[in-house]
Amino acid sequence: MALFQLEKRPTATELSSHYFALASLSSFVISVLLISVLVGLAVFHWQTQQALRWWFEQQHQWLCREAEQVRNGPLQETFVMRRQLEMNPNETLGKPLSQHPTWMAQVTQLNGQLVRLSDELSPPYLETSLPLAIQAWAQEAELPGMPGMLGMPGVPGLMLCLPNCWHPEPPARVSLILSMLTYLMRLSMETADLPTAMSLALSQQAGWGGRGVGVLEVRLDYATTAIAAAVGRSLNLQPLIRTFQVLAPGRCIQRQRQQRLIWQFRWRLLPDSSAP
Amino acid sequence: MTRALALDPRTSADKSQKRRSQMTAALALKLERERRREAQMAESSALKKIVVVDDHELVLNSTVEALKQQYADAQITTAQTAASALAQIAQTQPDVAVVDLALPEQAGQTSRPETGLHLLRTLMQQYPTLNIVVQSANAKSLVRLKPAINAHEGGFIIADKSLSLKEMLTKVEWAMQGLVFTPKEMRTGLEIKPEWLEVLRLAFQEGLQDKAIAERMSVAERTVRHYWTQVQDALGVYPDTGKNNRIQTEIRAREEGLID
Repeated sequence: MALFQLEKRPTATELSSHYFALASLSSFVISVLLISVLVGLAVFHWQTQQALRWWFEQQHQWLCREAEQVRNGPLQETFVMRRQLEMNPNETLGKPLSQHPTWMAQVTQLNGQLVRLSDELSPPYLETSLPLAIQAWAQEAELPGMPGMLGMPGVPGLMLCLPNCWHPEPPARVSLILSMLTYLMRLSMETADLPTAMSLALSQQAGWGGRGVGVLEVRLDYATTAIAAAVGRSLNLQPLIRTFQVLAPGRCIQRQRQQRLIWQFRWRLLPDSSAP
Repeated sequence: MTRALALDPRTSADKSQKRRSQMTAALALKLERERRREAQMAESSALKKIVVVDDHELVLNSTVEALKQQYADAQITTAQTAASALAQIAQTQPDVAVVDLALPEQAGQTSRPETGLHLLRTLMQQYPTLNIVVQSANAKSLVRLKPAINAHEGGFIIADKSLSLKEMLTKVEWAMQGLVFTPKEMRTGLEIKPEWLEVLRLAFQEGLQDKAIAERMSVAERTVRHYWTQVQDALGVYPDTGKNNRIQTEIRAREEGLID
């Protein structure tokens, strides 16, 4: 009798409550799993970004050390060679005096190449000033003979609008910005239609929490709106935009205003920086 | 003229004789001046004291050799570390210090540009009138010292190591004259201080000389000379053969709209 009573069939209310309990338990489990997966993904994403930034920083430091090696080694050697040639023109390693100008020219050329190499490895003004670094980059980019760069025939001059003072920036970020400019310009110069005007402006805007935002705007003007649209479509700059987003960290926005293509790089300035 | 010559050949002969004697006198005067100048240079060279600082022994020797060509009787001492450079400069009180930027603090340590920058900052603080030539393969990092260079009262010349021997020796001479020379790219925009503008105004609008300018501005005459070197560097005016520096400064200042 007692057993019979235990095996009593549950009522509809009891079934319903069991069903709801099970349902809420499973939805809770699913939610926990979903949240765990999302948190895991976010952590993975954050860790990947940190790892990439660490790697970029290490690469930057390594390149700076290499540049110092060039400046402290071969560049000093060429200095000594040059002085020896200048001070003892009659004793040029037993070579005839007529070869002296050739030797001088070769040493000068070697010196120039080493300076360029060290500047490629670690661009000037990385640690001191972003505007000066951009200015030096533009001067180098506009030199004739730089393939795919601004010194090519038919390329208009790059107008710079740079402030005199800027906040301290991490040298790795300055290096990244210069790399972005190099790739952006190189890709733009490889298109069939060259721009008719180019300008670059660096400025600061107010951001959240009183922290300033650095804004670098690159503007390329084309002959017509259709050409600008075609160039904008043909340039595959998504990897570049993503790279800046992760490594700066910051944002890069591409947009078109009539015949003008604009790339705007934005990043948060260091908290201790003061207004220029 | 031809007609006069034809009419009176004796007068013409007299004139040419007179011209010849004038030219001879002028030449003699010029030669005498040259001799005096060379004597003065030799005398000043004999008194010159130079300290050369570079961590590379070969570079150090090359620079000393080059300086000996120009200043044969000068007393040249050398240092290879920042610490020994400070000691040498304190001991010799040189007329000019030729300093590399990448230096080790002590012997056996790694050469770093930061050490050279720190040395220069210390030198400018301790010896405000010391003439300095920075000879470096990476002189661009000196932009960090710009405020200190502007405040320094002695000569301050930035000489890239890629300069020729002749150019380097010219830069050393400029430093000895108390001039300031910084690479063009280090002068972003025209940074002119109010006191420099006042010097320009008093000199070129009121026609005052340095002594009178110093009195009007209530500063030492040496300070006025310091302002001149600073404003000339900002305007990119440097000694040039056959050109008057002050007139060049006035021309550039008018071009930039600093004076009316």
